[in-house]
Amino acid sequence: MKKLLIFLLPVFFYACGNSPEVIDDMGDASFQLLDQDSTDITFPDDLQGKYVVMGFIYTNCPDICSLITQNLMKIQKDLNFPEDVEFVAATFDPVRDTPTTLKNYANSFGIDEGFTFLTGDSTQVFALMDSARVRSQVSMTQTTEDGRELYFINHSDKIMVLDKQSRVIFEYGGSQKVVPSIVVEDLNKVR
Amino acid sequence: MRNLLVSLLVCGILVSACKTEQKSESESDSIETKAQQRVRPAAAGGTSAAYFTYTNTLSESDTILGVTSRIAAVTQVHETYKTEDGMMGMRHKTDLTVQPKETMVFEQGGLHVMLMQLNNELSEGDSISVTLQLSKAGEVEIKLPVKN
Repeated sequence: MKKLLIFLLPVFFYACGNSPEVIDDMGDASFQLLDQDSTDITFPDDLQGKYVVMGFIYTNCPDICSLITQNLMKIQKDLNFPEDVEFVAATFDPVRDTPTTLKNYANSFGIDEGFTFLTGDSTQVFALMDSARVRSQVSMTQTTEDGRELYFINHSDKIMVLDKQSRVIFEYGGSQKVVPSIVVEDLNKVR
Repeated sequence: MRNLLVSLLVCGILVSACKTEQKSESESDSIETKAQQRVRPAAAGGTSAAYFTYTNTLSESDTILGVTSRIAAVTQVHETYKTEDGMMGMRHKTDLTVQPKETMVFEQGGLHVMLMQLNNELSEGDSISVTLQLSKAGEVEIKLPVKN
């Protein structure tokens, strides 16, 4: 009995320890993207060595995607702008969400440093979305009186956390009000 | 053998108790925002949303037929909703009935007024107005501050 407990205790401590279950490993993936300053970003390679709190948005969605962006901002603030955590918002509307558009979007929220918005070539962006298991689908298209086309997108509502090895360790409903406090709690357990 | 089973049972209980719970999209604690009278800041050419409340003070039901604003090329009432397959989306809403004394809430995560293709940048401190077009009350102008 004693020997058996000695054998099983490490299993117990592993389960209780600070190693959350790995949901997905993005460490082998590599996406060539652009940030809001049009700087080349290889994701997730360029962010390895940091935790990443990442949400998925499009800027023509001022409602639910604003909640996701606000949640990312609140997490950053509640963690006191940590240097070991990068905050990322990736668009799934790369045609409209150019780096300049993302920069303007960031400015409208008063977002300055420690926050990366990602866009890029559609192929790379949607490969990233597939890898992150983020779904998006054009849902409604309208043509304005002056002939301009408007479209809206149904999409996943998601914030996820990657560890320093680019493994997805937590996933949440991105717009939910309670999410910031849960993310902060979870990150503080593993950092 | 009995000791083995007891040990495994105890260990199993401890392990399951300590396992980190998987967070998932749940509907129970989804969006719980209250309406705040405001319009979101946004860049020129971009998209913003207006949040406010409207109370039908008439003694009969009224219908919101549409909404206009000078600050955007296109202004519409939209509703945020969850699709059957779990995605979030928006849909255009027209002919919204407001019962007598009812207050219709335009709030983040629910009904809201979409301001698309903005003519100018909306910055904190600015104020704008949107005009509801109602079947009985006519046009009702609502002034709103721009703020996050």
